[in-house]
Amino acid sequence: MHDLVIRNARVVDGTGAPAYAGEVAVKDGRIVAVGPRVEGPALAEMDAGGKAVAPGFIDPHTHFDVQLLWDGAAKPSLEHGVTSIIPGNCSLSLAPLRAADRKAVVGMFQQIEELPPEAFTIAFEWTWEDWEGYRQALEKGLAINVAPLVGHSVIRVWVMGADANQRAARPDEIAAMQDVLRQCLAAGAIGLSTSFVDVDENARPVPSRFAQFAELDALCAVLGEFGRMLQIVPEFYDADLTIARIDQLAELSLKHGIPTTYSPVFDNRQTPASVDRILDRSAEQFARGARVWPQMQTRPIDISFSLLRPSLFFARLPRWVRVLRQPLEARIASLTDPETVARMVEDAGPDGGERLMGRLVVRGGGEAPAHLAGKTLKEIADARGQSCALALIEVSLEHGLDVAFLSANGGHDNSDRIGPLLARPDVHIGAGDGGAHLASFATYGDTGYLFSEFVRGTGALSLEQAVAKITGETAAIWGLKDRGLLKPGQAADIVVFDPDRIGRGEERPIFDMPGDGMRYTRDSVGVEAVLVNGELAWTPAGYTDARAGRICEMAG
Amino acid sequence: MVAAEVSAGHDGDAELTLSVRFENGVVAPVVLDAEAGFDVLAGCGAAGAGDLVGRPWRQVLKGLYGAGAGGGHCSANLGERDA
Repeated sequence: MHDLVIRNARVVDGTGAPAYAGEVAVKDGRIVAVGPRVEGPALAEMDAGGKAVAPGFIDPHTHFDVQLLWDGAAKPSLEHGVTSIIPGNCSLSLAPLRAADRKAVVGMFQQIEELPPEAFTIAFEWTWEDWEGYRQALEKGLAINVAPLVGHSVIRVWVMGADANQRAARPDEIAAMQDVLRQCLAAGAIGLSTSFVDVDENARPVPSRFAQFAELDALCAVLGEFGRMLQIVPEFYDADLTIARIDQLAELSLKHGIPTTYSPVFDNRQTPASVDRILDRSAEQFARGARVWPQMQTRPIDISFSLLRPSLFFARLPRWVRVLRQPLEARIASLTDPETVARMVEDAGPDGGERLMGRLVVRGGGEAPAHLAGKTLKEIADARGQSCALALIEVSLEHGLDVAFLSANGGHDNSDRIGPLLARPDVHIGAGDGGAHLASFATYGDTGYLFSEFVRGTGALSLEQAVAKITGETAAIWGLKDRGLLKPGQAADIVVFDPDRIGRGEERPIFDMPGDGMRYTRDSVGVEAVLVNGELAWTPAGYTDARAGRICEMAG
Repeated sequence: MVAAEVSAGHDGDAELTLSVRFENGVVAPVVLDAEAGFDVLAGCGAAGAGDLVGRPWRQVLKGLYGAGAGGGHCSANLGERDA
């Protein structure tokens, strides 16, 4: 007797093979049969209504480490069809971490994730120091599967204490880090993350940036014992430095027999050659036998800013630059000086800034009144009978300058170009950053956007290709055991979605972080059911009580 | 410098992408975050991004490191992300 049979399905099995009309049977949390017709009775049946039934999506780059401790569903990832997430990226994880070192690491997390302080004081209880203890704390109440990386920076803090972000490690300290990493991997960490870019809350480089190559090499030797992943954040603002890191990763991959991945990789019209050079270098290293996976996000990059701090959005306007660079008090004084404001409006162009600023959107969540949220500056300016430039200044002043404006699609936005890049077999779709940048922009819905923009939109990927990219291929790249495919023996992580509708909702602010903290989110569109390890975890009616999420096991 | 354009950074912040033409004719981008970008504008005495075009690269270094700067690799203090 099956626990569940999903009938009337368009089976997209995660291998890239053509979809077909079929059925999927589940028992004891695993898929037991898939095919045009599944035999045998079932305790429950689900009619997919001809919609796509696919393996649950896997998000390989998240920062849900903290949120998972009070929200085992990593909302809203699950409702977008994501059934497995990889936290612990960019050198940061919550273990191993001694109580005395928590403050330092919390500061790094607040910088990366933009979590409110209450997230660390009222939302969960610190019960662990080592990885095993963290794993036990994490496992309670998971609704989504988690495959956690251990962060290089926290390993350094564990071994070197306050010296972790001061100096290179001695040989004995490197050996101690190897032992710690080995313990973490044995206790369920799926790999190591490091960063060459990130800073802490004091703008100091995070500890991993003080490591010399010998240290990284030694840690990769331990990864090699387990065949596990090294994730890095390279100097992505510079193509040459990124390429140098790719070469370094390739040497580590070949020497230790490990997969490696780096992110972010994104395209900007201002640096049109960079992404091709970077991807081509990865391809050259793949040809040598190295595994160096570039992670590329699907969503475009939006520029956001307020007048609370100077933004280079105004770099083309000399008078704005001069005013906005002033200290806050002087800045406000200038913005309330009629003569200065008149010059700024003049600087914005003969159209009063309409071309440059008219399409800016006022974002909710700050001090801006709700009735302005979502409106364009042009709409607001017209309603006020003002130029766009003047409206931007006055609306900001009326709300203590804490009004966030969004310039949509500022980068990585040429879909005709991005689609073929995402479709490349040597490009890993990811880098979504779920759970980070909470107060800056929504990091959710990238999977829906993959289908709406690059399957239905440009047609750069077929439905089957797109599903394989974020399921079977992702599981294979990372070595996740029994995930990512619809075939007997695999975990029953399943998403039912409408290929004609799946997408992402509009970005909106919500206040669901501890202490009523704000973050930006996006609702799912076109996802109809999500099962995790055979249990129904989400439908459009909401989250269920299922807590079937697991710490992912690794293949091999 | 042959171009100075506002670009979108990974973190959603506006950045300044300068295009530098080298003596051999190669044009390469240098991406500056907000802090570095404004420092360059101020250090060069540039009114705005457009004012940087046509200036020598040495002036960017001066903007970043002060009057004593005359060469070296500039990337060490650039592009750090705050999230």
